Amino acid sequence: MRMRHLPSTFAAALLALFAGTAPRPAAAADEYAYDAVHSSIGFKARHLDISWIHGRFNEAEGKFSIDRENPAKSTFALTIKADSVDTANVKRDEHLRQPDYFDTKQFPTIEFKSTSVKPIDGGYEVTGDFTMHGVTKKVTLQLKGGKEHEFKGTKRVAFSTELSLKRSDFGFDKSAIGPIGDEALIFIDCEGMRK
Amino acid sequence: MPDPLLYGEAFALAGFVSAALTLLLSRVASRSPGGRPEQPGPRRVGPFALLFGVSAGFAAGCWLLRLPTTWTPASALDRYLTFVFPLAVGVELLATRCRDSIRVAWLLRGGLALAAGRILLHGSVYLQGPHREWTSGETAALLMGSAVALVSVWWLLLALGRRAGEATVTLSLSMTLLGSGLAIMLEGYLRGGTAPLPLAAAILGGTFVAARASRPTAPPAVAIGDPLPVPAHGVAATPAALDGVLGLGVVGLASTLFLSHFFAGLSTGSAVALLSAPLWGWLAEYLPLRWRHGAGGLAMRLLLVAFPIAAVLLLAMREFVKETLPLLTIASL
Repeated sequence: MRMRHLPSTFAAALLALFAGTAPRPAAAADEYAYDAVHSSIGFKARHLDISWIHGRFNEAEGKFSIDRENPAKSTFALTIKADSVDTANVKRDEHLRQPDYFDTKQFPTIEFKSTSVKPIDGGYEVTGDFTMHGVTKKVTLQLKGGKEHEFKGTKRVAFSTELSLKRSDFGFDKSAIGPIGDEALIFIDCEGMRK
Repeated sequence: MPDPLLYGEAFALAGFVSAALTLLLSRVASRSPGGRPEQPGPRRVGPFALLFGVSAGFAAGCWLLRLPTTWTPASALDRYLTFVFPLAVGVELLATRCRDSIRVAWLLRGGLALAAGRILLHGSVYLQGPHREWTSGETAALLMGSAVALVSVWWLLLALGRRAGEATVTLSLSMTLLGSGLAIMLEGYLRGGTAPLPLAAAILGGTFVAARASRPTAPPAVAIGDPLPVPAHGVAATPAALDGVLGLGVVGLASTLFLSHFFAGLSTGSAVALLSAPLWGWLAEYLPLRWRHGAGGLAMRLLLVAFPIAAVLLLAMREFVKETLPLLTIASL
């Protein structure tokens, strides 16, 4: 019984092999959706200029389109829900949502949308519009990574980047900056799942 | 970080500018048109002088506090200072001009009350975006409810002003604005809490000039709460001169509470208690007549108004000490 099925199984395996290795037509860029479970967006800011306060944003969504043959056609977009700020202190988080800081009822999202991409050693240099607190500024990110991995039938790709910015550049009230330093560092480690 | 010294300076500047400009404009206005010499009789502190004086005082205080923060008013507070307050000044100027047509005045005030809520909520998650929080019906109901509440308080305060003396009501409003500012600051919204302070000071400055003007130059002395007498000479406040100032105060109070509630989490109870606090002056109208007159009557009315303000402040202080103070002193923000 088993022997009778062997040729057809073999043929199927051969077909699968050819299907996998045969040159594909010039494919469009691979599109990935932001995987919230395996990604994290953290930040830290100086406190009294002697230490660092760490926090994170728990909710975000985004997508990337990666064109390996023509990286300039790649795109990256990320939307962070400002309301999901989490510094491990509920009262402080409430305070950060208020108009003196993120003003999350007025500016519910922090967004990044790429405008140009170029390959660099170990990743991509991505320039784009970063919008926070209703103010949009051009920023350039060094996206490191880009390795692909297929896990349980889903192709994944991951990037990491760091971004330094001044809150006062984004319309945060200078008088409310107080003991927290003006400069904040944002760390993004994101994994994308191929759609 | 809170800067009490700056708040004090802004308060003093707003009060001074308001009083000085009101007095100056009253003197200028008392001259007859065409540069003729002053007519005999009292100089009048009119509604226009008061409106301009109080507005300028408020603007001066805001300038010192660096409010609004941006000239592209993206936040609700900036929209209040850039659009709603100037609109209120315009409406009160028009209402003063068409004093004979009370319906037109209230139509304008009603329109402002409706527009204010929409302006303050503009661009927020309540009205737009993929995660819009309210439906069109909810938005309409809320804006209408807020407008009705504002107009009701406004009307009741004007009516109280006619009975108890306008200066009593503007003083009550000034006190409520101060209390609201403190309550909002204790809630954690520092910038929003500073905005009512210069308005309170400007109203005090204008009221002071109007009250001084209303004081007769000869005995018997009459207190603020009494009907405004017109002296034979000196400076006098025209009847209902403080109507416009009262309007600015009510719109300022309602707007600040509205935006603090929807954008900074000020509780509904606190917002309602503070908005209705000046109305507690009505209770004095049911006291025996002898308690309602003179300085005693004024003190009684202010005491009644202070009661709900103190209750809100006590609760806010308790919450602040329990929740926020440890954050500032130990864990620190």
